[in-house]
Amino acid sequence: MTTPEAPATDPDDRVLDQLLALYVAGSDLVETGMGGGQGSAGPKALGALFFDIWTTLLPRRLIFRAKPDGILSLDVADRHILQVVAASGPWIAGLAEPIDKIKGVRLADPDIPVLHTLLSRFAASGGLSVLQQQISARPPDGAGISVHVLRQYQPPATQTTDTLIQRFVSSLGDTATAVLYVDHADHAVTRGDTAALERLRATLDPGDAAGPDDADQMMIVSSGQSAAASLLPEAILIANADQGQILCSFDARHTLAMAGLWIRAKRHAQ
Amino acid sequence: MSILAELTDLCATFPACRAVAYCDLMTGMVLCSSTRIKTPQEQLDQLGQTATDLLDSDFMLAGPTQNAVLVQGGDIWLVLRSATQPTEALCCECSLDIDLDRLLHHAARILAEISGLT
Repeated sequence: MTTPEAPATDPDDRVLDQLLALYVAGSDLVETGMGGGQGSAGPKALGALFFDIWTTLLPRRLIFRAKPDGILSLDVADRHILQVVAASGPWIAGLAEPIDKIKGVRLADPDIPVLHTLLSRFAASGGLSVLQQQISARPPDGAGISVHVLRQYQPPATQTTDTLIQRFVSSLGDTATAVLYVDHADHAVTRGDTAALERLRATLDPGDAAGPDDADQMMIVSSGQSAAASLLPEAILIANADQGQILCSFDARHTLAMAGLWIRAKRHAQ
Repeated sequence: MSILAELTDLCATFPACRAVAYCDLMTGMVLCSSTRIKTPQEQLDQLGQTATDLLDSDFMLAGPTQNAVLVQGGDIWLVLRSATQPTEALCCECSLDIDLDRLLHHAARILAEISGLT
């Protein structure tokens, strides 16, 4: 078994140390260092994500986690991303369709724009960490997308991938106790405990999803009643935009904060 | 202060608040209102209907809906149910640059005063 070589120009030997520890311990799962970007968000986290891919030579499944409840699982080898295995969490809101197109298939250069968007959005979630798992099959030479190429890819300046809903969801943090987003193609993104999500589902009205020409709409209703007195939520946000519908349950004390998040997302999306 | 004076004072305090209406949720009727510009009766009636729609719908909450915020296009509506007169509410129609936090506190205070008058 060979050990992955550390990047010649980067002094961070932590990843190599941990991989060596993994080899010695015989475990097939290890937490690696996120290239020094663990817990961060945005460009630094994206750089750390690229770094972890770059330091992976042997076939590995990298399972990245983001806060809250974000998962992105990639098969990686020879500094190439071979395939997207899994992607879940609120960060994929509005991206479900493009993700479905590249998930589980051997990636090739035409997939670079979507993959870049995917990694950028995931990195923007913040609080990243990564687990590494051995995979047995060694990929054929030249397969997948090189992390070098991906890192150098510049999205077109006019390309704006963040919709109102995406901006809103990425700003939510831990404010909402449960989140349910359903897009026009019935792709659902969920977060929160099962009971809370079931109550949101019961409130969901597919007929209310905004059509292409409809104006976006957001509504918050709040009981102001203590959640301790009931299993039902104190406050619910229901919004229709981007041809989808999002529902969140939250503590009624956050009513104004939630309205503020929506208004800010709306301003930025315009 | 009369109900009208309270509503007019609220509009004067918040330039981004275009209209405020004191509504009866049982009938959806506007009992008293103040607007920044002359407003057709149909639009005032709509305020009463908005308040009723938002507060009286069943959203499976832990208790009756006490307040609601609706954002649509460039407009925002804030609706508060009276704590002492649960069938009455205050509905404010504003632009998006409203200071929602200040408006909520101000509206809740005058709603308590108005409810005490009725």
